[in-house]
Amino acid sequence: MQCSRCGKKAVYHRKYEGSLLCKRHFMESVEDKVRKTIRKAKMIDRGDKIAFALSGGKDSTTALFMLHKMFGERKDLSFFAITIDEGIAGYRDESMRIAKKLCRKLKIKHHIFSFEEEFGKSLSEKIKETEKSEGWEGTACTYCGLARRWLLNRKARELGATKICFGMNLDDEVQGIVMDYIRGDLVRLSRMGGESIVSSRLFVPRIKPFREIPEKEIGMYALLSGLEIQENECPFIEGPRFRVRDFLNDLESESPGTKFSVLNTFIRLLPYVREIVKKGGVEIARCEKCGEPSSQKVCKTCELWR
Amino acid sequence: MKITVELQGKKTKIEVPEKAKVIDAVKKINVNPETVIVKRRSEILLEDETLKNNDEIELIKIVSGG
Repeated sequence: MQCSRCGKKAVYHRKYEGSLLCKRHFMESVEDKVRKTIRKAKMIDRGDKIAFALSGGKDSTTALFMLHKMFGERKDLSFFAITIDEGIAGYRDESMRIAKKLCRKLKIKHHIFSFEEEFGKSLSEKIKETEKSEGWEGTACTYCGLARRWLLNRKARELGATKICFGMNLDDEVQGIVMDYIRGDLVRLSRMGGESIVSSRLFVPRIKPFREIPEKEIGMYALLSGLEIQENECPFIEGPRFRVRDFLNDLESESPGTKFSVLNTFIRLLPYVREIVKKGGVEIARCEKCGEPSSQKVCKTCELWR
Repeated sequence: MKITVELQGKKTKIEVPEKAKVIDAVKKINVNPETVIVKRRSEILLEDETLKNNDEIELIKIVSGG
């Protein structure tokens, strides 16, 4: 099968737009889409110091690799990477190795922080401890996600970052939107736009240049760029989000374009969602324990981890 | 015809009809085609490509979690 643009051997069938693409045209089209997403949401400004949230998984390594390729020569921008080691035995070790290797190759300053150092225990220890106690609520992802976001924001701010770049792709975005619908969480939903909504100067604005790129295309781009891909999943993976992920993948297989349809419908609804949330008025103050931004007296991270 | 499918280091021999396509083999082992990239040696295969007897294909999992 041949590339719709040049007739060379195709490596990717982009079903939602009915095109076949060779290596060169596939990679160019992904990069063009990413540039467009960055421009549209004004994600990068002159003088930005961008912290990459680098887990070592395919999305974050590709984000660092691609943005370095696009903007690495710009003298007014600077990049560094932050990796959070949650202490998940047999999983994080491999992605940490990949993250370190990429930073060495690209000559990017790499900062590593661990749950153990910051909270006194690893995620594995925390889960063991909470499973035994009566206060167990949520899933491992609740504990991990909260602490990871808290730590990334705090460290990026302390290191002088003006933006944090995440590798979240279209699939992540759409799963998040559907999850917020299911939970009825309009406040979270109102923050799901492409541009960063900063409700406190303590939050470093987040950018997600891959939010319109399907996960499979990120995987393909990584593979074609010679980046290492970690194939094993986190052992703690559980909860409704992963059922939503599988459900959306089934629908996409049967009906290509489903994920874009969910995202585009949400983008049209977003102004109305934000209007409703504004009327509700959630105030951001500072957590009494850690001083980080919080809508409660004590933030959720301190409540669960400290 | 018989083909070998490798997923996360584990090889499985499966039986597929003559002129089966890549997507048929992927579905046969209950994997969603959205979640993998398929290779035959160093060559990336499209879902609609036809397989040959004794082909060995590798499924690279690209769905993240965590």
